[in-house]
Amino acid sequence: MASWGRRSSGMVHHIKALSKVELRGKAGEMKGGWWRYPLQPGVASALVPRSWPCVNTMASLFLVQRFKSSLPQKQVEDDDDDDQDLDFPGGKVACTSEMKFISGSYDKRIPCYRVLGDDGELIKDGSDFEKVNKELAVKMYRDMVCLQIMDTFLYEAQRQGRISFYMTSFGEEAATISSAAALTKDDIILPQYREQGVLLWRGFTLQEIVNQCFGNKDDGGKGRQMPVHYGSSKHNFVTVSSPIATQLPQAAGMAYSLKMDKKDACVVAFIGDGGTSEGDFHAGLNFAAVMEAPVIFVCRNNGWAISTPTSDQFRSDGVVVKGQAYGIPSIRVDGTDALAVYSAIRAARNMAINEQRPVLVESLAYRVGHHSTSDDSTKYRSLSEIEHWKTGRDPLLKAIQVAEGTEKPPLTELFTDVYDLPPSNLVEQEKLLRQTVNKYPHDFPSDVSLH
Amino acid sequence: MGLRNIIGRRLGLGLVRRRKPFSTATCDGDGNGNAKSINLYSAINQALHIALETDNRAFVFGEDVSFGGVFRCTTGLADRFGKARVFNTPLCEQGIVGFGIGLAAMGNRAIAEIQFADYIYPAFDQIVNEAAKFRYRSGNQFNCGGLTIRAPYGAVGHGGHYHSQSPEAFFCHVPGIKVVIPRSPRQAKGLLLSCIRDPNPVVFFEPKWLYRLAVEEVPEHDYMLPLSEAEVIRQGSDITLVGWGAQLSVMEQACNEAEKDGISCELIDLKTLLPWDKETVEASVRKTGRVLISHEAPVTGGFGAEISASIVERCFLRLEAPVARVCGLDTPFPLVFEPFYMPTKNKILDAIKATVNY
Repeated sequence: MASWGRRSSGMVHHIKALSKVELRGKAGEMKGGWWRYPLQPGVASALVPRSWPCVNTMASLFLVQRFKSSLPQKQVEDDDDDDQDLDFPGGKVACTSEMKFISGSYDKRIPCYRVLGDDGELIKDGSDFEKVNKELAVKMYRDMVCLQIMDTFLYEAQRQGRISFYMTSFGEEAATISSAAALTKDDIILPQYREQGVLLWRGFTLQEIVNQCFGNKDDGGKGRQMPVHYGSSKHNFVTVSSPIATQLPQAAGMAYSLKMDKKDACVVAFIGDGGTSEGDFHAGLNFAAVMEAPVIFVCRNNGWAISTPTSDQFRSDGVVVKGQAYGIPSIRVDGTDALAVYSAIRAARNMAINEQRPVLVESLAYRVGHHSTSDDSTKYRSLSEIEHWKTGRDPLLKAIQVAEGTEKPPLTELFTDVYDLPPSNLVEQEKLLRQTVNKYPHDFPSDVSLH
Repeated sequence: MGLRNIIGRRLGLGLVRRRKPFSTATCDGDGNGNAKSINLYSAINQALHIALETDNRAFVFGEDVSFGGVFRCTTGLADRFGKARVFNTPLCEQGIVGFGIGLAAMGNRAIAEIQFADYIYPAFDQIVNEAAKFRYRSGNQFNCGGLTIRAPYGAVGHGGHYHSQSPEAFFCHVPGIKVVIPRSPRQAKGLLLSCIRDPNPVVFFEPKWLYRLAVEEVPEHDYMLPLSEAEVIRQGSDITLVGWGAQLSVMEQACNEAEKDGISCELIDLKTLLPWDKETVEASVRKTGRVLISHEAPVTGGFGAEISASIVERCFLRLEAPVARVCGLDTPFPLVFEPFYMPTKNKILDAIKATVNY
């Protein structure tokens, strides 16, 4: 509004120069009927031509009133706006006479923070990460393996008709478990539905998980919800609910309460890539930012919302860029890299609590499994794609693949180490054997080299 | 101006209240302490002041509440209790309610304002799927009982589609929340304090038409009125009328006119719509044998349908006439046609007569 006022008063000058216009104190039309005068005399006038978007006199009156309430800092001397600052509600803004649209995306995608290479070794050039001690690392590894095995069993249990439903977290084990490892037990978790890793880390037992899946009398939720809708006040893990993203504005409220208590704790709210399209994502992030609430929003971008790939979900550079729209610092991290996730969440937690503000973490970790037991993902993606991601960053399967593809030891090794040095009978036997192998190569396996 | 005084006085004196022992109230709003003649928004303002002063974990938030609110219900709160406890939120109802649920889940009293009931729908998911089920789905490990959502509802004379709605029926269909609607300033203060202190999430609809128009003697002290207890505000023997909120004053006028024709009307203020006090209504219908329900909301699927079905279930053989409903039309709330849309005094009067003469 103020800028319209400015522009208009610039026009006053311009028009005055062009024609001898008298600014009258009451409504009236100039000869020729082109201009309308504002009704208010004595206020910095804004001539509003009929072609202006805001055409009628009452609106221009409104314009004038608004203009009055946010007066310019200095009068316009000429039409060049380049040195002008706009003192607008929300803060000063420099003006420019270059009309430039911000592009919908940066030239380069936001890079993904990663500490371990595909080979499981630290990437060189001084990786920036927080070290974990052996005890922590072992627990992380053990819990990831336990999670994967548990998921396998419970998926099978559903297939056998023993439980009605299940959701696995294959491929995303590091994302949840490392996040949990980086937090304290006082940090409150608001899950979406694929964060059983966090529960396991915190000490929720396998029995408790399975009780919830069966909905028996020992289920903490008293058998009211479908499997994987677990919750535990003892572990500061708020009960899962099916609607997507509803937990995000709730996270802002819970974090505000922590803020009031000045607690050394934060709220960690999980969401998937699909969930960021929900209105509650916008509501949650905006509220957390405005209320300056200590929330870490962790988006598990696993590439799919059931059968919907991220290309059908948003046109932004993933989720990490959305944080800036709310004034929220954000990072993109490799969700299969346990050390990177750990470091990022630790840093996010420090920021959230020390600066009392929300932080957004986008974790990239492909969803290897189906969305749930009600889904057959081969219907919308190729087996080879699944295989690629399954083995791509999975150390055990990768090791098997590598091992499988590796040659056997050379033939020489058949004869070494019987003694410290081969005696003459073995030297002769090797010579004879090699002649036989050359004569009948098909009798012998091809993956033993003859060197 | 004159009309305002008349309506004000009518509400102040015309409501005959039958004394009834209250189960949870510290006092029924009569008696002890000073009482001042104030309007509805002031009564609500008093309740909010008391709520914040008696519980330092109570918060008031919503759009524009900081400067006092568009209906002045939150005047003075921010100055007195500070910006950390009384604050504006972004313009986002789902955020307001979601945030309130989170705050309440941490044991706080979260008093959320939705600027007009007409705008509550973006928050419907949070209310129905989250607030209402928070305790149940967690096996009582978590709850958001400290949440109270206040919203102005109902006709205001010139509100049209989006400043006049009565959406109470949508919420009465949700196990897990309570729905409360006061008829007057004194009722509003006591009921609102009960809602805030009730360990369940509550939606509190305030009849906006009465914000300024209704003036009543309201005790200045802290008092609560019980939820889920209907009140017989006028005794009668020929027909039972059931209503809530602003509509009661219209119904009362109809009762007065009917009396001139020798029809004795019993008028009940339901007060809490969910869970509602079936016993009081049933006892009255057993006495009169006839019942008429009136609400501004459209007749089809309105809460009157629930009351009707329930009464027929429980009092079938006692009924002398079909259950009558005098309600809004099945149209969006119109602007210039508002006088035609509304369940007016004469529409109610005609229905009373038709029912009595059935």
